[in-house]
Amino acid sequence: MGKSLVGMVGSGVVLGSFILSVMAWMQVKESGAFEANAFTWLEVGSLHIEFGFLVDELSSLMMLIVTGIGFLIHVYSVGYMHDDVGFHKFFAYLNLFIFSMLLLVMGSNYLILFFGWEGVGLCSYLLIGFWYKNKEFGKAARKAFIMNRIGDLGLLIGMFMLFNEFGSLNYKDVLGAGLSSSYAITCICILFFIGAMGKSAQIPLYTWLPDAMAGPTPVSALIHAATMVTAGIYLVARSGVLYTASPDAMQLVMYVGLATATFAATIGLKQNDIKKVLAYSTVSQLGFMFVALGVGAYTTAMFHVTTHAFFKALLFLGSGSVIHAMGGEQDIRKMGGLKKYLPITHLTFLIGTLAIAGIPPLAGFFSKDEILTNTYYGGGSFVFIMLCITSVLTAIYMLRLYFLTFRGSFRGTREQEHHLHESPLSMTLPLIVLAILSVVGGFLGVPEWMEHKLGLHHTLNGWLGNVVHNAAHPAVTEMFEYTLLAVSIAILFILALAVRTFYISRKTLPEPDEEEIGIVKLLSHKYYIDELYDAIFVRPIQSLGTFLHDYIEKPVIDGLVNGFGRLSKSSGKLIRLLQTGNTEFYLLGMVLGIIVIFVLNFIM
Amino acid sequence: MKALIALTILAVLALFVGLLKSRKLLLPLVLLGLAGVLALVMQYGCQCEGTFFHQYLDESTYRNMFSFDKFAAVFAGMMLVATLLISMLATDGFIYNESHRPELFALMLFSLCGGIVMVGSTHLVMLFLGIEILSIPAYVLAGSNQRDSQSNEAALKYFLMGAFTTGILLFGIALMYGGSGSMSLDGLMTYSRHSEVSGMFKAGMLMVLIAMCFKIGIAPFHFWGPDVYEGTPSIITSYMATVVKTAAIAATFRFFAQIIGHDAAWMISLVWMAALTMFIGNLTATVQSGFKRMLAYSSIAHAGYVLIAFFTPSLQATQSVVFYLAAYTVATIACFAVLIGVQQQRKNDLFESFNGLAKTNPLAAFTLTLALLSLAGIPPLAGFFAKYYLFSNGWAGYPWLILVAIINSAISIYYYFRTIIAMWFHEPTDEPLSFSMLQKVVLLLTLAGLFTLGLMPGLLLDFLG
Repeated sequence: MGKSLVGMVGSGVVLGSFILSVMAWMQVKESGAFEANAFTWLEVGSLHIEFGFLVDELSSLMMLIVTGIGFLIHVYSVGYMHDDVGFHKFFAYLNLFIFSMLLLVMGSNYLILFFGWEGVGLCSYLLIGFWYKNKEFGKAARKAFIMNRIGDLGLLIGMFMLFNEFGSLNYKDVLGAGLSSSYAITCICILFFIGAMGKSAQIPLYTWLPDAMAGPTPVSALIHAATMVTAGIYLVARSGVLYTASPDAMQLVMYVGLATATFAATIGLKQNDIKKVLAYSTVSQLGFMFVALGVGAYTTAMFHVTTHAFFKALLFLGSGSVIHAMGGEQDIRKMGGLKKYLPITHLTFLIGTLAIAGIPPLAGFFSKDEILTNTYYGGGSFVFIMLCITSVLTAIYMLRLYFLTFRGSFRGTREQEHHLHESPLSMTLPLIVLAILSVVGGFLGVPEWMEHKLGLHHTLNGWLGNVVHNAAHPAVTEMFEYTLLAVSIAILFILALAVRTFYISRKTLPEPDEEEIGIVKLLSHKYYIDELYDAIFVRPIQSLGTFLHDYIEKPVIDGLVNGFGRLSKSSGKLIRLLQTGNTEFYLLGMVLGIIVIFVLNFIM
Repeated sequence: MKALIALTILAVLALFVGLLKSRKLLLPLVLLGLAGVLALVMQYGCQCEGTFFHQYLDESTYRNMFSFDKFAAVFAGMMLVATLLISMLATDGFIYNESHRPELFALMLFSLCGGIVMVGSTHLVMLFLGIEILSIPAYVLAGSNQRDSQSNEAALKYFLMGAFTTGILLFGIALMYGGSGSMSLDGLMTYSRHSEVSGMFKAGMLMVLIAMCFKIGIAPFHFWGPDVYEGTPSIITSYMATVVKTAAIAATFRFFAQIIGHDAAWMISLVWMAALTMFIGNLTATVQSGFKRMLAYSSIAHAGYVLIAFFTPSLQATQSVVFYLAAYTVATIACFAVLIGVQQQRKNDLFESFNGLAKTNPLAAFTLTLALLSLAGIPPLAGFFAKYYLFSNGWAGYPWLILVAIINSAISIYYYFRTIIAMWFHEPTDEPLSFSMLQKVVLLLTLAGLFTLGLMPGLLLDFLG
């Protein structure tokens, strides 16, 4: 098949599923959630599993995000991947991803969710390692897969416990029942959260996500920013009833989210790879969402998932357009002044930056404001202040990224400068659509105190209220909101000026890697967490393998080889084989085993 | 019983065909014969109603020695299907010993008879007979590539270890009889539950159990496994890894799950052995450089998982053993089908020999990938559901053992992926492999099996009750 046909088919089917998702959404709006069972997968004894789907407010929201943004990114990929030899394969993987992701959000029980969960993990692995000829990329893919498997173990064990507790894995049976808090539920919640940590890149399982940027940029936008990484949020929000019954688990979720948000934001301050900055920003924003979940603001978390999907996909696609123009260069120290070469990319990227930084009335402002308000009442002042500081950090690293990339003068080679060009329409069109969404997306969730002023409603809260509720908190005083609004605008304005002065007027550049010292070095090396994991986990396991190999395998194999030598000399002397030590060693092992078993059974 | 007789006649006929030198007749005869026996078993299995285990207390039927109940029928069916698939591979698999092809088939069928006797035995003497009928042809088969010193060594090792185990088994049987005064399963069960169990009986039982663990390849009695598997011609290894293993696990399950399942004291050493087996199998598999040796260790690990079902005797546990072994058998045969092709044409089984198979032989690469993913337990393939069912039933017994098993299945991903990466992410270094028609049919059949068992596990489980 020709490339254009592949692109059209690949994007067309996703457009089709988007249209179907819209229809499903309208049906839910009209007549409420509906369930469909494809077939009874299994019915044996107490185990009853339907291969069934549940479309309610929560899953239809996710479906719209997945297929809508998925479609835009498919279109973008037609342009971005045009010269790649693996074009066909790329679209096949991407479509498989959309399929798995839909399975994940549409399932009516945890087992189907787990199916999709594994499926998206596999697609993510395949797409990170898409340019597999680069060894490092292959390693990044494997790292992502292994870290995700650790999380999956948590989810799987959680599912076993859940089944043990409720005798069912259906959402309807588990979440419909009136729950009182118990030790088992806390365990299940924590185990589910471990699963979410892996998929949504939270401390301590976050290091795979920045490495995952090895994949093609559309993949980073779709899988590692907008959709798959929010599966953990979806899981917790879906299981909201369970979490509400376990305050301890919620505390854990909140603090892990907070730690991740802050930690990743500080690392983002000193990264010089355009995609790495965005990757740490994603980790940090996911932390925000978990804080929201941790204070019981489930719909708020989903709101941030939605707006984040808009502006983060936009930023990633914008960075892809920059990288495309720069001929593969990703180091922002070598960019600058791209504003005049890439006008559309520049404008849309600026909108994305302002949206994530939280400038009203862009999308990020509304969702972040809602998270902060909920944290103020639900999380205590420490969490609230830390989260405010993190929001400031977010603005700093994003503005730094923006100014270094698009303002000032060009710092690359002449050849690169000559080559600079705006991307084709198939790439800029998705940028424009996402930019518009990033501007208006916030009005899905207008805060309470603005509702009557604007004559709008908090659409999303009312919409998702049928599935999960936010924890109740006292009504916000207008004073508080106005203060928050004024202070945040003022801070952002000052920051923008400061960053501009620092990087543009004074022409300060981030130092080359080898000249970094002190805290800068610590930050740009990401606190040496990768090295730490390597020392604590990777190397000991490898040495255990080597130990088994050297001391168990070697004597045996070497013995065997020696045995062959003798055997080939004179096959009549077969009996000598017995004296090479091999078989004796085996017998010895078995006899020791027998003795141990007898001792265990008779003496102990 | 009819099936057993038919199978024996089939083996003898295969020998006659050898005598007549009518080479072309051999494979159709074996395949049709096996299919016929399979039909007999299936028809019988469908008639069996109710519970899995049905002891013929009626003295006139086989004098309480043998019971061809649903349990036996299911496992016999599974072993017949495995042998059928392996026979289809045998055209290429037996290439190393063209002149004795009929004898090799006959030996395999005789050995299969022993397997069926084992899964149906309800008496220690029958168990012993079954094991010997199964093992002795297997020793010969292991050494059937007489020009290859590795094959000779494997046969000798297999035989020596087998002889050692037989000694332990017989001694154990004697002690059990001495303690309880009975050798039939009924008598043993009654004795172990009601009266004060004597030390002699206990010692005897442990010895029989140990002997069975040797046959299955449970640590620390697994040492022979990798060496023998590696040295034996691959086609025979595939038989040992599937049919022999299935027979041994099924017979052990029939004898012991019901006795030990009611007494924690019996279980504890077996629980530790299960955990040890999983770790040894999986960890050692990660450092292998050859595909076949890796499969040998992985088969050890899988036997470790199956032991989980022994600790919670119930209908579900029995079903989960059947299902797990079925999934394992299908995936293992798929692995060997590809391995045989690779070994014959590349002359080794290093992971590098699988480089770029996805480009040169897409069908083989695809099937092998799915088989490995199934062994690793990735949905929606057979292996995932098998593990899920096994583990969720086992949770009631020893939850920590399930955790160990889950951690181990995560480790196993590492080594299964090595081959997958070699096939898909490396450039081909050699000519494409050629697979015969029959080999391709086997690949397609196993592929279908992996999906059918994974997506519609009900098909098999419903049949099981």
